[in-house]
Amino acid sequence: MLTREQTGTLTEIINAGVKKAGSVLSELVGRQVRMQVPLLGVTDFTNLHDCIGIDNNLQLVSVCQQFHGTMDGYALLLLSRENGDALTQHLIGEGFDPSAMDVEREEALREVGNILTNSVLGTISNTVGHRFEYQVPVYRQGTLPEIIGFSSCDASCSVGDSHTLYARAQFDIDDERVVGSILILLTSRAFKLLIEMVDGLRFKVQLRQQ
Amino acid sequence: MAKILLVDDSSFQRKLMSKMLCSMGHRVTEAENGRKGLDLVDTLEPDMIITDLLMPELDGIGLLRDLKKRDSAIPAVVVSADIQETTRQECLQLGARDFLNKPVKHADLAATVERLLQSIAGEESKC
Repeated sequence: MLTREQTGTLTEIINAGVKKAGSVLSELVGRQVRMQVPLLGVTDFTNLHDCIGIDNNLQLVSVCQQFHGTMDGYALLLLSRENGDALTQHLIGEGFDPSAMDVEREEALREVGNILTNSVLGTISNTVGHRFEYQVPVYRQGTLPEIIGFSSCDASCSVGDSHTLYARAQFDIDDERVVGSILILLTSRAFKLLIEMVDGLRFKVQLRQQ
Repeated sequence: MAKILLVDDSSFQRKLMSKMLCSMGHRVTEAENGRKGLDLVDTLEPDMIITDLLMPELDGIGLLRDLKKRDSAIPAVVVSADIQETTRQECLQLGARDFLNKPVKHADLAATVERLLQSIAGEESKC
């Protein structure tokens, strides 16, 4: 269980990462992106779909960014198929045909997913002073349980022994709404380590303020 | 006009950056991972290498290590989504001449390429 101070610091760090992701997305699509204040929290896998508001039967597209080292886990960008197509359309432009171009969608979303998840993980890394060792990002389609199941298996991360930091971000690209979720799944050991780092950070800030 | 070797496993990124580099008047050869990039270094003799970091077979760090081992004088620039300060430092220590974050801006890429080409020209004129 996290204290109010720990939740506050963690929220602040992830919020900064999601804001960075929003500004990076604006550069990528070359349009104005307005970002709604994201929903942030910590949960376990069993309550995940309720927390992020994604139906377990909804077809999703995802990009999974694994990381190893002293902290094991993975970050996921999740979009409904419809929102994935809308984002791809913005990235590729007029030539995108959602019915025919699976490869083009996969390539574009894999790259944007890589950039967005790195914005959040990199912000955590630069703030707490821990380096994530990344793997090549993987694109997947399926339902939330399928995607989490495959990704957890690849990352040797048991869903029963993991914590999820989630951020539900809502981007308005010009006037079109694209809703996506960024999840960070950590093993219990990695989560404990992250909280220790967050505590260390708060301690340093308190010392500087005295 | 310079010969630039562009190494990235994402065809989406290669397309974006090739377009930028070609519009600057450079000739671009693409490779989809560090291994294929290294093979092309020998045959192509590029003026500059622009590389991603996370790639299958041989990643950008491996490519930089190999170039350093060969004592290569070809300047390498890293373009990566990885914003970790420690990654940037590692790349610079391995001999990368610059580190840009994705999505790379046309103006930033142009300035970096121009600066490095001028520095190569300066080094050659000293010889």
